[in-house]
Amino acid sequence: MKRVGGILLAFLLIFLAVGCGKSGDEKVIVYLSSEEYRVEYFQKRLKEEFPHYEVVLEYLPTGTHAAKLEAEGLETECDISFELDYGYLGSLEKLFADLSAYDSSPYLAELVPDSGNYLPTLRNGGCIAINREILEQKELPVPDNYRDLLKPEYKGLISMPNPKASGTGYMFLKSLVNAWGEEEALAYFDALTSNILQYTSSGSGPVNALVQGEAAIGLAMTAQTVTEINRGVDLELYFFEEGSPYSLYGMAMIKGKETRPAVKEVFEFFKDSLVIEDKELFFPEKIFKERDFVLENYPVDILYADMSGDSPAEKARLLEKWDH
Amino acid sequence: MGKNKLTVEKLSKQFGTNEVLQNISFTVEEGEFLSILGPSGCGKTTLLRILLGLETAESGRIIKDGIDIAGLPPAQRGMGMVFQNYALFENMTVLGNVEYALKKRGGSKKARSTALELIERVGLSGHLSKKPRQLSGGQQQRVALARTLAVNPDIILLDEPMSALDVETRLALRSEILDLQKEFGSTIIYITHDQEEAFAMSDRIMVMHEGVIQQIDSPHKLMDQPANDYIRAFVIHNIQVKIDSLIRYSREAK
Amino acid sequence: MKTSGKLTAVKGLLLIFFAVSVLLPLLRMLARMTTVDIRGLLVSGPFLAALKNSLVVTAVSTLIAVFLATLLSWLLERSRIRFKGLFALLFTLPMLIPSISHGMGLVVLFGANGLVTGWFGLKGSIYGFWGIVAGSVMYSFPVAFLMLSDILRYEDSSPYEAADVMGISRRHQFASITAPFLRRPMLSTLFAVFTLIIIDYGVPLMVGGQYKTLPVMMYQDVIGLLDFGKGSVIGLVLLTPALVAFILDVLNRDKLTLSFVARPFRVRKNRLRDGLAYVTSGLVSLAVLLPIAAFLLLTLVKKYPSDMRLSMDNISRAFNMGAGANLGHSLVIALVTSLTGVALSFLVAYMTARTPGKLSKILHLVSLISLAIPGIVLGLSYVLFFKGSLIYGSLAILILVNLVHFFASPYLMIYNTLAKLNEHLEAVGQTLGVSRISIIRDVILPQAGGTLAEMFTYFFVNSMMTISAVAFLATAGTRPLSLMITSFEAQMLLECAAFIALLILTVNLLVKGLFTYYRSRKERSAYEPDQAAV
Ligand SMILES: Nc1ncnc2c1ncn2[C@@H]1O[C@H](COP(=O)(O)OP(=O)(O)OP(=O)(O)O)[C@@H](O)[C@H]1O
Ligand SMILES: [Mg+2]
Repeated sequence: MKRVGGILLAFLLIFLAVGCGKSGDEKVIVYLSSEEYRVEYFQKRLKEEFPHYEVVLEYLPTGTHAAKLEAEGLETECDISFELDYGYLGSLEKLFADLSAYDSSPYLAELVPDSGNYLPTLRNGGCIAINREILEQKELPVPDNYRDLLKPEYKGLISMPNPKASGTGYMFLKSLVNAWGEEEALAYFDALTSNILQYTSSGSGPVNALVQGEAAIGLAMTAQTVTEINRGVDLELYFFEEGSPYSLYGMAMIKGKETRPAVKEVFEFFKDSLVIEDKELFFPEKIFKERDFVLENYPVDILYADMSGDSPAEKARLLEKWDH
Repeated sequence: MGKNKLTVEKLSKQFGTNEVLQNISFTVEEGEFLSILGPSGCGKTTLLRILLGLETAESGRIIKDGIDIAGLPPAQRGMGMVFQNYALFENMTVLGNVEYALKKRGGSKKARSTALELIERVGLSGHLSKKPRQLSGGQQQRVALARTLAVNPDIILLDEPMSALDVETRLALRSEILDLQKEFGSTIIYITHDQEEAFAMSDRIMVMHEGVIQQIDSPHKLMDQPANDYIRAFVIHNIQVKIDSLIRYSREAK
Repeated sequence: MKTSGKLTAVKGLLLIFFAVSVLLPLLRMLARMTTVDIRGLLVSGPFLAALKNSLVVTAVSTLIAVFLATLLSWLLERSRIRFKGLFALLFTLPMLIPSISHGMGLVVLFGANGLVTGWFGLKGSIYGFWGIVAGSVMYSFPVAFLMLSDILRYEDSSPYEAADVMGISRRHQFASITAPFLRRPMLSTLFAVFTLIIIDYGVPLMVGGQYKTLPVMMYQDVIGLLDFGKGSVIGLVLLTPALVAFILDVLNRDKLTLSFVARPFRVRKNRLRDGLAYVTSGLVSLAVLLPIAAFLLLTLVKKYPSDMRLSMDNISRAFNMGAGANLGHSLVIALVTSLTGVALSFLVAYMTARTPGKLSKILHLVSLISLAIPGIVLGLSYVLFFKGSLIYGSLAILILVNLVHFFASPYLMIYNTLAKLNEHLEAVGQTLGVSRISIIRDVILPQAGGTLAEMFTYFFVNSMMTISAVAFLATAGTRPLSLMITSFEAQMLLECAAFIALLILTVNLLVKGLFTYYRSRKERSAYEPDQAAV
């Protein structure tokens, strides 16, 4: 039976051996949920800027990113969390270091969170994206307002992300709640449900469905729609009178890690350089008071919807009432 | 015959609250063929397993050739056992089965020749490289016997060795076992449910019931002088069996 | 006795292993449940609706999958068609890719603008009830097919021959011989498939549309709302079918050894039956190959469906994003998981199947728990329990989580094999003066070879495919290939996701092929009854 003990010991050793990772003072770990092409760009710039540091960009899909931080708590190996949406950031607030030492005056006032534990990095707006070709095939007009979408002729042609699974979906819901009142907004989505092809689980689902010709009308992400248009896909985008709903994304440092100079330097580089370059190259929507960014085919002077009063508690409360 | 081979004194065994053996005492003489009869669950297998050292008794002594063997590991007791369903090594050939233990104990040259001899003795020389599944039940039983004999035990224990065989094969194997016993001078303790078989083969029969030995005597005495009502019922119940075997005895005598 | 002391020590060690790798992490997770209004949740409208949806869609999918599997396994085992090996291989292909890919395959083929939809001008939508059914049948029917084929292959033909002699009609033969023979295995198959489908969220997430099932609800609670407690409660509910299956199994366990005298079937000529078999097998093969062909197409065009020019863009893009390195991680994880998994499950099964005692029973029960833990719950409970420890963030934790996640099935395979071997082998060894270790090495292991290979394959294939549990535990330096499917999906790079699915399929196919080759060689050499005698 000695051998059996030996085998068990061997298991343990294997685990320990595989388990020994490297560590170092110069290592900075960033959890981020940006698209891979943006991650690539960040990585390149970080290498140029900090050749002596090892900056690990750990891509995680948004939900995994948040769930993992929630589970790991302060013991996480993550130093910087980049591009979680405000809802998640709010519920994870207690994990983050105080950032009030940084000047928040360049940002639009309504984007700065009360807690001062995270800073905005990105505004992701929503639009009504249209695949005109399909509408024309079915001889249907482009809808003018949200009410139009309830018409029976649009049945099965509309795609929208599920608010429970996707921030994009939630922001459409919240914008209408703010514009019309809760009851009316929820009743509206109840009615809309019968016209919807599928509540997609990811925010990018609707544009995807439009590109593939699965759906004709998408409650979609503006940036993604523009990207597809620039790629030559024949899509159009509109905003209804309630304005473009948007969600906000931010960045934070894990509490206790802000004392490491390397972490701080990398965080500041993100804040002062990468966020701005990102606007110039990929996501131009407005977060600064004084600076605007222009991109090919990107709508300018977007009228934004009223997204006030959003908090994790509010989101949980509203989603409780959402049962599609 | 006549020399005391094995003495069991006041052996008791319980599983939890189940008293399987209660103060069992008996002796077996050298070269004797002792059968154990008794209803299912009366502790026959348990008794053999204790004799072999596969199970430990709560109390009692087991004396073989004048030495208390209770503390010895099974392999050093000089006993061999043929298990129910044979328990052959399915992945090995007939030869492999028989020579395995010998090889493991060292001396593989000797192992081969001993094994070949034994296989020859049980009449399976033509099947050396067959696997157990390619053999008939009786052939498998012979392999099990040869495997047990290979390590040269002086007491052989058999636990319902023929229960899975058809009548003809059983009859054939009976005399083979008796012949082997004579040739190797072994002492045999033999569990069976087949009373006719016990009456036909044994020097003495031990009838067990509820963990107690009811009677241990020659087949003759068991019939003529039953020790108690249980045995009487047992024997009357088998009056037919008795007549059958008597007839067979007389036939064999001729 | 000394040896039994050693056995107890080993069992103790194994129990400690399970306590650390299963029970304690799970308790950490369940501790979060105390804050949940469990009663309120279990009677809430959305929960009940999802429960009903889950039950209905799972029941329908299970029936279809098992029906198909019965038909096909019967046709392959009892007809004289050629290419049986090829067909059997094709039928099991869907087991080798993650379930989420089946959802994707359906969308690409049958979505409003899908390939097939386009060719045939189909109307209607794949999203919703029938979408889930189609996807679920796809990945679960191979499991049923394998189980039933095994049963039919070892059915004894002699009762049928006797019945033929007596002039009993085919229909009566079916009612009085086949049906009773198939009842038990059929029940186990139904349960296995049901359990498999009811806990899956890959397919309903992709094509469920508005038809929301419990696993999707769990997914959205845990991931969308960070409500681990509520998610765990739903996870526990999902555990019920597996538990019921387990209890039924324990109650009905007959320890009878298989009769080895089973006569193989001699299949008679029957043109009609064989024709039917060709047509059915061909159709199902087509259904299995279609999504794979779609993945191939998706991989090899620039941008589906707008730009259908051939290109290697997607492949090179996938490799630029680390497909190569991640394939490496996956291979290491799968290989180490399989090796340690096979060794560990053999050790545990040896203890539980061949050494009696209370500890063995406890060990047996604990070994089966993992069957029922949803991957998401397992993964997060590992984060909660192992964060900050030495193995956290390393390949080791991914290996450990896979080991636990996939332990139960291979464990049961080897448990059954070991329990069937003659119970006296070790006792024989003892009386012959041969140690337990020697008996294990020389007698038991050689007889378990086929099962061990099958277990290896199971661990390997599943470790290559799994997404749910590892999603929370992987880091950039350890990310397995399968996770690229979800991240590509999240970024709408369906083409790359299709390529990754193909890559996983290829690796798994190779491993599976090796296994099939090994088994057929072994069968030919070792266990067949004497051909000449038949
Ligand atoms: N390992 C064990 N643990 C608990 N009880 C046992 C064990 N082995 C045997 N028993 C019990 O001891 C009793 C005697 O069993 P044993 O196998 O000796 O009977 P037997 O006389 O050989 O019966 P059979 O003729 O059916 O083989 C039975 O009640 C059995 O259930
Ligand atoms: Mg017995």
